[in-house]
Formats: sequence, structure tokens, C-alpha cells
Amino acid sequence: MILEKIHQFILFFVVLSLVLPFSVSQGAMSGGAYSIYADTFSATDDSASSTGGTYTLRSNSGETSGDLSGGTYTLKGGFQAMEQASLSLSFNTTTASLGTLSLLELASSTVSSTISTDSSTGYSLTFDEDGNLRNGGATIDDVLDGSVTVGSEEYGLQTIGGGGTSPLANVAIVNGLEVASSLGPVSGEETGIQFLATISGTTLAGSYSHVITATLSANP
Amino acid sequence: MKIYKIHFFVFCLFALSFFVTAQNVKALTLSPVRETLVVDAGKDQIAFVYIKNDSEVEQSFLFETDAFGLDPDTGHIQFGKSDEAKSWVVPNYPVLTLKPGETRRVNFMIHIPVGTPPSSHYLALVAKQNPVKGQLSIGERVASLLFLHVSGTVHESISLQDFSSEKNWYFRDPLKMYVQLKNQGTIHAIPQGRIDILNWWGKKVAEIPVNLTNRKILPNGKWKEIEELKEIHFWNIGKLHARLFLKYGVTEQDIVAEKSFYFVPWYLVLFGLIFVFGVTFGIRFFKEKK
Repeated sequence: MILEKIHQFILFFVVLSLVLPFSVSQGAMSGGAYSIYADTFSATDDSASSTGGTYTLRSNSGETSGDLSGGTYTLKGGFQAMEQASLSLSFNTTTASLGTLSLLELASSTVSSTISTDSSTGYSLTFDEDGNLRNGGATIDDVLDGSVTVGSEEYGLQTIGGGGTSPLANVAIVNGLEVASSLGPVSGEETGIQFLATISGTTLAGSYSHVITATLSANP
Repeated sequence: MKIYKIHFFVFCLFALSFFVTAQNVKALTLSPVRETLVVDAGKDQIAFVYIKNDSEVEQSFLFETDAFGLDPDTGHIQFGKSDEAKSWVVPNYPVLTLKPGETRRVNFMIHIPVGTPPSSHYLALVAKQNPVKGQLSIGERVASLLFLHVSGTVHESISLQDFSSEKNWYFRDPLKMYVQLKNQGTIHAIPQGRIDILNWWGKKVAEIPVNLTNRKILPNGKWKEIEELKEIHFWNIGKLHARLFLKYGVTEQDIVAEKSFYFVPWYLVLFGLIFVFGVTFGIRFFKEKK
């Protein structure tokens, strides 16, 4: 009898431990084996989204005051709220090689990003560059016509699958270029990013390089 | 005996859940993804992120504060904006080395200078890894968004800069309406609402929702959208009215505007022309016969 009760207790505990992480992750985070918490949680309301994405100060008693109908109100110090979700980013490689660019050849190289988030607003992966693809003083022009074409001097990228935003056309890498995105939570979403370059008869053949910074964030 | 079997089954599930998690290896995980703070001028506050090294090797991460804006056309986030508040938020670790699977909390110390007027600042608490030297070198950054408000009186004000139709005369659908807003207030807002399409008799024949994706407008920012009505029935021929109703902010401000245009389906025009030509030709034909 006692043994059976112990078993029932263990069974209840194990079921609880299985169910609880899922129920928490839906509203909060899925950060794996570590826990994340807020130091201060004021009353929040998901319905109006007025100051921080998914929360509002309107229902946070004591944080706002003043004439709400005249377009002004007062924010009082001490309010703190957060979305306890997480963002994960990995690349299969952080260096890609286009080799030596030469006439009549399309140089390409593909890297793969893998992203997970349980953010309710999804994610955005953006690229910034430190300047044009270059070799000393010589630079490769950004693609403007949607296609990196052999015989023309052009450089750009296209995305393959996943949350890629440019699956059909080659786009120029400019600061703030959104490469992949989602409107909601994703788990292990893999996006291929193919870099493409060609040179014309007047372009100096050789090895060109530049630095790209990839930034992952939740959609604001 | 039965309870032992159930017990064993649940235990297996439990063990499996750990196994599945362990296989899901990532290079870097950051949390939370978004935080809002209201701080008094002259006061200190702490924001924080948790960072986890999900790779199988030891990694070093650098921390910095960035500022972001939003693209007016797409709403895409754009980092690297200038904001004096970047210097108010300083990480307690400029660099941190983590073992595989290790998690650490990184505090960002916030100090709002004395006398800072009420204002909103759109920042990012960033963990990054510098690029390795190569032909195409990719540096990784993961950002936790920080909506930092200096306490005081907040002013909400969005002006309508454009509400227009793509054409004055439509001979076929879709109908396209342009909406452009500018935030002249001191805090961001999310304008939401609808465009009602009314026919010549004032009857509502269609409704186009505006900003279903909750796009924000930051202070001094612009916001543009093209709203489209894909199909409209031919019996709504004639003058149409598009009425814009938007609401935004904690103070629930309204934006209302109206624009008129004409809808004349091309096939009705063609039918009318054929009818007129037919009648004219018929009258002439019978007159000549007489």
C-alpha cells in the first residue's frame, strides 16, 4: 500500500516535470537547461502593446498618471517588464570563400544559419557590411538588376529555404539587409545564404574580401 | 503491476526529453529577447541578459550596447543608429569566456544623467563574436531589445502625411491605398484600424484591416503601408469612398481621413461601347433601309 502511494507520488512528480516546461515555454522562454527570471514584474497586459512590444503601462497600476485623453500621460520610474523568451543563433561556418574571381565564371559560396526562438513576435536576422567586396582599392559593384550575371561586375546574395527573405532574386548586401525572418516562434529554422560574385572584362581578377556582421533579434 | 508499467513508460519519456534537448546544439543563446524599463533621471538601474554557450567548444563573447530604428517601408529593424543613451548603458563584462553549455548572467549598468528630459530610447543589449579572418568573414551578434524610457510626461502624436489612392479611376481591381504616418510624439506607438470602402449610396462594401502585424512607429519615425483590396464586385460601379480609421497609443488617439475615386470595370465599359455602337449601327441600318 505504502509502496503504491510512493509510486503514485513519483509518477505525479515525473508527469509534472514533463508538462511544466512546455507550459512555461509557451508564454515565456525555451532556454534549455537554465532558468531566466525578471527581477521585478509589474502588472502587465498583452492586449495593448503600447510601450514594449507585448506589454503596456496602461494596466500597470501606479506607473501611469495624468490626462490620458489629451495625448499625454506620465511614466513613473521603476517600471520593469520583459519577454522571457530566448534567441539562438548558429552558423555552420563563419568564413566563406569565393576563390579567385575570374572572367566568365560565377563564383559562389553558401553558409547556413540555424535559428530558434520562442519570441511571440518572431525573429529578424540582418546583415551589415564594412564596405564593398574589395581587393585593395578595387571593388565589386553591388547587384542591382536582381541577378548576378557572368560577364558583368556584380556581387550579392540569395537565400535558400528556411526563413530566407530573398529566395527568388539576388540582392545587394547593404547595411540593415534583412536576410531571414519569421513572424512567430521557430525551432531550428535553417536558412541557406548563397553569396555570388562575377567580374567584367575591366575588373581586376583576384581574391576579394569583406566583413559581414549578422545580427539576430526579436522583431520589435 | 500496471502502475509499474506506466511508471516505466513515463520515465522513458522523461529521459527522451533530455536526450532530444541535448541533441539540439546551438552556438549562442540569449535571453530575454525584449525588456522595458522606466528610469528616473539621475537614477541607476540594471538590465541584464543571460547568455549560454551552446557549442561544443569554449567560446569568448563580447558585449556592447547598440541602438535601433525601424525601416519606414518594411518595419524591419535596423541597428547602428545613433543615440546618446548608448553611453548610459554599460556591460559589466566587456568580454566573457564560456565553457560548452555554460550560462552566465551579464548585467548592463544603466545611469541616466541628471536633468535628462523625459524621452524614449530604443536600444539593444548585444552579445557578439568577432569575425574570423577570411574572404567573406561573418561576425555574429545576438541582441536583446531594451525599450528605455526616462520617466516624466509622455506625448503621443502621430500625423497623417498621406492617404491616397493609386489611381483616380480604376478599370479593374485590385484597389490600392497608400497610408503614410509620422510619429511626432516622444514615445513609440502602434497605429491600428481599418479602411472602409463605401459605394456611391454610402453602403459599406469592403473593409481592409490596417497593420495586422503590429508594426510600430518610433519617435521621429515614418511608417508607410500599401493597403490592397484584391476584389470588388462590378455592381459597385461608380464613385467609391475610402474612409481611414486608425487608433494609436495609450491615450487612444484617432486618425480619420477620406479619399474618393471611381471604379468602372473595363468589361462594363466594353459592353457599353458595343451596345452604343450596336444601337447606332442598327438605327442607321434601318434608316438606310427605309
